[in-house]
Amino acid sequence: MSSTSFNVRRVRREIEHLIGGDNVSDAEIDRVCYSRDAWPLRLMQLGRLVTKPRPDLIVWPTTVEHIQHVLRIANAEHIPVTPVSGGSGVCGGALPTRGGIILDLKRMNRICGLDEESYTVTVEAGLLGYELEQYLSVRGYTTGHAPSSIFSSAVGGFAAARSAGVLSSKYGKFEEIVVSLEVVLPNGELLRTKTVPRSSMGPDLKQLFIGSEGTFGIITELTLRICPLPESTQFASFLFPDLHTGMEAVIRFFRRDLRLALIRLYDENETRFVLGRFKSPPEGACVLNLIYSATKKLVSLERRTVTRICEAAGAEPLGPKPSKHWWDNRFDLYYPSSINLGPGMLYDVLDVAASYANLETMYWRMREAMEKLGVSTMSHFSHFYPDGGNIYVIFIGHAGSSEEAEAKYSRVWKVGLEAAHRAGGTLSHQHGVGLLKAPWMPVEHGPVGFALLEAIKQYLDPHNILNPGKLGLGSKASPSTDTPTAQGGDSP
Amino acid sequence: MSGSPPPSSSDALDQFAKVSRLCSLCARMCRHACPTHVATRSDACSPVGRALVVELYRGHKTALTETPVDRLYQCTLCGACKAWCKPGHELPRIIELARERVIQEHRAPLGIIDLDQTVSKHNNVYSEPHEKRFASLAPVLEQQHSGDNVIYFVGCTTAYRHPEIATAAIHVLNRLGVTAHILQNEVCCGSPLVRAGYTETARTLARQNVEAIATSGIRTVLTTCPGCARALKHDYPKLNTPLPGSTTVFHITEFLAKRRRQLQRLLTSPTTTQGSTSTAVTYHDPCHLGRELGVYNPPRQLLQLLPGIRLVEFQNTRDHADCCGAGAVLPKTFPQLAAEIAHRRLDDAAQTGASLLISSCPNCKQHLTSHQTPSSAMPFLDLMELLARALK
Ligand SMILES: Cc1cc2nc3c(=O)[nH]c(=O)nc-3n(C[C@H](O)[C@H](O)[C@H](O)COP(=O)(O)OP(=O)(O)OC[C@H]3O[C@@H](n4cnc5c(N)ncnc54)[C@H](O)[C@@H]3O)c2cc1C
Ligand code: SF4
Repeated sequence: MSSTSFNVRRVRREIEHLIGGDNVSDAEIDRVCYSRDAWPLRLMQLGRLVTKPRPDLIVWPTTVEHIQHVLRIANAEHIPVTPVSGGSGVCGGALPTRGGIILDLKRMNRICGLDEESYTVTVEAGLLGYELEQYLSVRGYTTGHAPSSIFSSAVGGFAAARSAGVLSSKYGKFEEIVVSLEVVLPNGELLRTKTVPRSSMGPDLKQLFIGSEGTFGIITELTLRICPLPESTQFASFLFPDLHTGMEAVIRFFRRDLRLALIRLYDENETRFVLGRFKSPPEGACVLNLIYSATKKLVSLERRTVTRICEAAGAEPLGPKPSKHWWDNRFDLYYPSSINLGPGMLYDVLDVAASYANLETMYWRMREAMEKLGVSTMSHFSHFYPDGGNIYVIFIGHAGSSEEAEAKYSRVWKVGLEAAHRAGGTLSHQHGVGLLKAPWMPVEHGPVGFALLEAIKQYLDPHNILNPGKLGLGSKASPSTDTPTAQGGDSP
Repeated sequence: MSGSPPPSSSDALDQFAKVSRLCSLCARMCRHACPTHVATRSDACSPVGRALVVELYRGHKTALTETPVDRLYQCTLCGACKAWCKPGHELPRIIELARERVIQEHRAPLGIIDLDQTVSKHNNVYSEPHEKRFASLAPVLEQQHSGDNVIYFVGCTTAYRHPEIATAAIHVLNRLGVTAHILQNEVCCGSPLVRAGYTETARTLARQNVEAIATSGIRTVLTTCPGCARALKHDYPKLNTPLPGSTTVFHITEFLAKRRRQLQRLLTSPTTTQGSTSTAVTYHDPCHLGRELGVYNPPRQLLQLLPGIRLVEFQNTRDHADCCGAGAVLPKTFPQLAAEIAHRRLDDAAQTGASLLISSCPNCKQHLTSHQTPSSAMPFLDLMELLARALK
């Protein structure tokens, strides 16, 4: 089953002795439960009851010392260790492709402290985003990090996968929300970065681990920035005659120094979907959903400025309903349905980003390349910056059989990412790399950049035990045994 | 009464195949609300984990051996998953059907290995003598009043463990002029057996109760136990043993909430625990009463009637209320897990700042009070007890 060979029983006993029998399992059924994250390709396979890749052991540490014990044993025995927090990653990052140990962080879920003077909260990595926000909201705070996976993802995973929540235009991406980190290195040593607002004492070490997806270390504790719950939240929607006009208006928001909580510009295909119950939009029209969330005074100023910009661009004001409806029902799309998970169906999302100079070109090229393969797409632009933004290209299609659907899935990814890369974009804005985009890492970073990442990996993890093969790292040290079917998006 | 035999559980499981498949592939949208997952924080002990057991079993990829069976029984069937599921997938029903299959294959977990025999022999889940079922109710029983006649279906836990709830309920009914009739041949409603997968034994019990209700001639049935109400209303038709056509089953809070005006007139004195002017109480929604029967407002409407009582809600309340841990025989199969779930709910109760914990279920009372610790030892009353005190 696994690609590693070690005496599972003996190692199990050894770990049990150190951290307690209740915190370890090698039961077959439990191992199958950890053979998946939320990567659509893996789910397509699981739908056919493909139960690999399975870990040999699952370990639930409850303290940093537990993790240190496990990593020391894993290093001595060269056992792969795959960390998982929420298990909501969509790129296969938490799949135990080479067997070994799954380290489930969810039992490390303590809230270690709320600093109401500095406006920070310190938590362990396995606390779910939802649990953190429940704790904060009754006290009048929020981190503002609101990914659509908030029920199923955890704080450690937010950092490990460099997540961005839907309100990130106002509250920042997760790397901006993290003040400091505690990380167990592959050799079991503990690294703590200082809890300070900023530092210029050389490179920012915490950023090395944010986005490293469990390949450089296990994130165990995080101090995060918090904000007061907003005094006022209001919704607005505008209908633009076309995508370009909508995009220009959004850019103008930034030129006028506006930082709204939510800016979501939909292409014509997704506009039809979003406006379905409200209006039948003219051909080519694109809807912009907005959320203002701040003090009452600021909200009123934002509203006035935004309305002026949009109306000057020829947009039709649609009132608050479409945007409010989206907010209230924003999770609906993520429940499993026969539409995307039925036999022979394929779906996923490409989340890419580019500077404004390239953004629209990238969108059109990706659409063209992907739709040529016979899938439907709909897209939105939902994370904006003064200099550019992301695109979230959803595709859905079908094929004659589940196996064919999986092959087609990989082809769609390949042409989509190729188009994004040629247009000057990054191949992931917020979903990370995992296995899916591992082959694209050298393309993204160039040979020099990727060699540097490989060297860091080699230095930190000479035995290549931590999440081997993810981010495309460590594959030289141990020839890739990740099954080809587990590699989404064929090599570029 | 018996009708045609229902399909065997594997056929029935196949009828739900689409749902169990989709749940097994879900992005874990309800896992955070599953009390057993929150307590164990294992993905195997979660809605998706259980759906996966069912799918692997249906696909002949796993047998119902010890660990898969454990995962199926580590569920309180509280319905929290369903409440968080936008498409409303009936995962609890699938787990019930899978358990039925476990029982058919003689793979019951240790804690309930002879549950069906116990209930068949004693007519109750506690191995108590049947003739003592209503022993402590004798003084208040069968007082004739001028108003409505109802059957009060007492249920095992109320009868043998918390007769104070029955006494209080009968007192409240009597004050309203309602005559509460007890079925002398009442037996266990069968709910614990349905939840555990012992469908055949449950059907036999259901027949006896249906027969007793039919011959009573009374067509209004009240319960103080949400599990009994659910069994009579929803499980009996599924077992092909429906109640006589015109019978209406109410949880007592629904019945009383309809008589709010009358109750209001009877309520005069302040109902405070310590004689203070206002007592903060919190209300725990029992899973069977809330998520299964949709009864959220009636208990709150009754609380509102009580002078000096102020309701402070749990953070997770109504359809998102957390289970107490007593559901679906978990205290018998996995007592430690059941205890941990109870401790969490009690801690949450303490967080509300209330000084009194109220609920409307003898099983919640039984389970939560038996797991109170010095730090979570808030007085607990069934809503009927609180009402009865106010009506003294
Ligand atoms: C329905 C749905 C909606 C989503 N919406 C968003 C969204 O709005 N924004 C967004 O950014 N993402 C979104 N995602 C993707 C996903 O939720 C994020 O990537 C999230 O950050 C993953 O967190 P997790 O705890 O689930 O991580 P996991 O899936 O557990 O792990 C992700 C990666 O990090 C590693 N890892 C996990 N924990 C640790 C740790 N403690 N230390 C070191 N490495 C670790 C794992 O090995 C894996 O490689 C969505 C996913 C789903 C299923
Ligand atoms: S009940 Fe709904 S939310 Fe829960 S696992 Fe099934 S599909 Fe997902």
